[in-house]
Amino acid sequence: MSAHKLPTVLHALLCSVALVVASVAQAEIRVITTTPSLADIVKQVGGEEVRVESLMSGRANGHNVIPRPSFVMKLRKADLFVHSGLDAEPWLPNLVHSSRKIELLPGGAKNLDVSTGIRLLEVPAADELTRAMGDIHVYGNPHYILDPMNGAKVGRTLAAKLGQLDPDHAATFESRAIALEEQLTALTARLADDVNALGLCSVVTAHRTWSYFLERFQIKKLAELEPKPGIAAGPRHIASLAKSMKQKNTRLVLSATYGDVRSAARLAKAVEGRHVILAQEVNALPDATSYISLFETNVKLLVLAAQEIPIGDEGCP
Amino acid sequence: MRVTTIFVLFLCAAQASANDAIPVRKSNLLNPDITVFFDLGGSLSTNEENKGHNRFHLREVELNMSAAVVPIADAMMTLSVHEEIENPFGDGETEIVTHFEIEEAFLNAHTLPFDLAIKGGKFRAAFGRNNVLHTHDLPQLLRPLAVVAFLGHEGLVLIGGEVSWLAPNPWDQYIEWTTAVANADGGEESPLLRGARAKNPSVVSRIKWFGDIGESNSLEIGTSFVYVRSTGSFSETLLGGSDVTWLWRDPSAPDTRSAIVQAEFFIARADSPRAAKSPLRRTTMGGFVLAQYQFHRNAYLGFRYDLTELPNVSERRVNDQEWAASGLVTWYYSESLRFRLELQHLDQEVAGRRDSEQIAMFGLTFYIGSHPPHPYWVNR
Repeated sequence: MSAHKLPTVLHALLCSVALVVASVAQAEIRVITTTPSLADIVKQVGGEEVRVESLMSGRANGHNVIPRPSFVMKLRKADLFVHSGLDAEPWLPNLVHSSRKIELLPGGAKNLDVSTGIRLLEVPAADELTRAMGDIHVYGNPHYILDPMNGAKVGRTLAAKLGQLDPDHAATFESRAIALEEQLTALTARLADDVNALGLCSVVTAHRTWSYFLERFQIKKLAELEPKPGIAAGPRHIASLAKSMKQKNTRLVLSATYGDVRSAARLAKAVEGRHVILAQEVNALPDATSYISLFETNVKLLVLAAQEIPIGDEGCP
Repeated sequence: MRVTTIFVLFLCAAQASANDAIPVRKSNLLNPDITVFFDLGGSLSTNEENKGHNRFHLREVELNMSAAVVPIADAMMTLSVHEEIENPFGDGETEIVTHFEIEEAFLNAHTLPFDLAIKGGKFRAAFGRNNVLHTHDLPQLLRPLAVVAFLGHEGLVLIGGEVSWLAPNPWDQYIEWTTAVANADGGEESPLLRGARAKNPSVVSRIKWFGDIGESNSLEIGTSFVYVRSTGSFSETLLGGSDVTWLWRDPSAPDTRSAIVQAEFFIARADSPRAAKSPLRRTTMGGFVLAQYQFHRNAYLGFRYDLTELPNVSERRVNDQEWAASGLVTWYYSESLRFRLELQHLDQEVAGRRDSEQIAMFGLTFYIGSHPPHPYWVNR
């Protein structure tokens, strides 16, 4: 190599090194979430600065997941692990221990429990807690993500954490979380109008999955199909429930894509009503491709079902 | 009687701490998670000579306590009480003996540098897939014949230390190597492992690969061995095993349809002392295949085929073996209450005598206390 070419080569080398360093500095934050809904919120808040993947599929029952080997390997490479907290995902402790990464342990730098700051429903009183209450969640109902305004709170929690991991983009994450909150607030108001226009007397839900959703959209719950959480409904219970539904002019039975879907359909048939399968998660139903479209899809399904069953002259007794 | 008293006192202590929680006292908030598992059953058999059947059984009551000791380590203790029928075939008096034992008591440092985990204390050996399961977690009512024949009625429990390493690899696959240095004598019920005559410590090792196959299947393949030396009639025993577990979940209904197929194979080689005039080498084999299909949210159908030679029969003949075929129905009322019904055909040929037996068994399993983590291996 001639001497006059040396500076050029050195310059090229330095530029290459600088490019590599820059690309490392701007590397995406690898985020693993337990559920697709959390993954979508991460995507909204993190934008191009994150690469996110959900462990669970949309149709899975989060309480009953068998961790796959790939879960461990994905978790080990994560910069951030986002989960629902509480006792929503009882398979997590084994999974996190299997990853052998101290930062992923509860309270660790890469472990984010997004239930922090959420107002929980159906929290059992400590002195009343017993297995006679069924497969009860001891900290309260963990399906809080089905209230869009809780999704907004999760967005804020995520923005704060992502800002710690990537301080250069902290303001961007925060502004995206605010934008998401505004979007969800407007969505909630619009969908609430749609639901109010239905004049629903009340509904029956298969499980306690829908408590937050019903509260947000002010839909009255008559009863649950399960006599107690996790306990399958028997024929006598279904018959008794059908009688109450007829008395209260309640015709809709709501369920998730998992659980005792057959009994829910049987109950709806007994009252000449409709069984509506809603999306409990992003991707649980084909149209629920994002956190926002999850609510749009669910309200649309409710509207369609309610329109098929006019309330009639008897109103809501 | 003394055993029962100790256990009752223990339960009372556990109950007292639970009662103390009302009203909540801060000093109790760090109490361990306490769960009591009850595993009861009964059986009917065509072999009326077998006094172990045609009766109700207290299969096991297990008191389990666990809690974090430090952020990177948990402690776990399991006290077990179970009934055993002594001398079920003999002409003498049959006796029901209640055994009380510490089944497991260990410290598990689950998150250590270099992808290591270390366990110390008394624990079930990582030898195959079935051996690590407690009685109430078994996929069927009885342990596979090969597990009983090679590892003893309760399976192989070690006292010592175990290191497990999640081996990094360029294919980004889950490969785990576990090695224990421990007393692996297997107790009185597994003379193959030399019992009290074993020169301890022994070595138990296992390596497994655990991977996804497509979106809805996973596969685990493992191989294990135990090496034991003794001063008894055989100088050393090498016990090897291999296992395969395939798990499928219907992606469109992951909560209600799934299947598992599992197979384990055992081979043991026991050598006589080198000083013996006519060295004797005995190789024995056994194994089982099980399948379980979930056809409803709370209901499962299962099948198992067992075939094993009998390494622990001292005067083993060439044709000595036993085999069994079992069918099982499981129904969960809830997560904490399960019913099972199992039918088994058992055929044994020992010392030239052939016996067969039809057995109907039922099991009732329930627990009280904190919810345990979901089992990792079974399709529930």
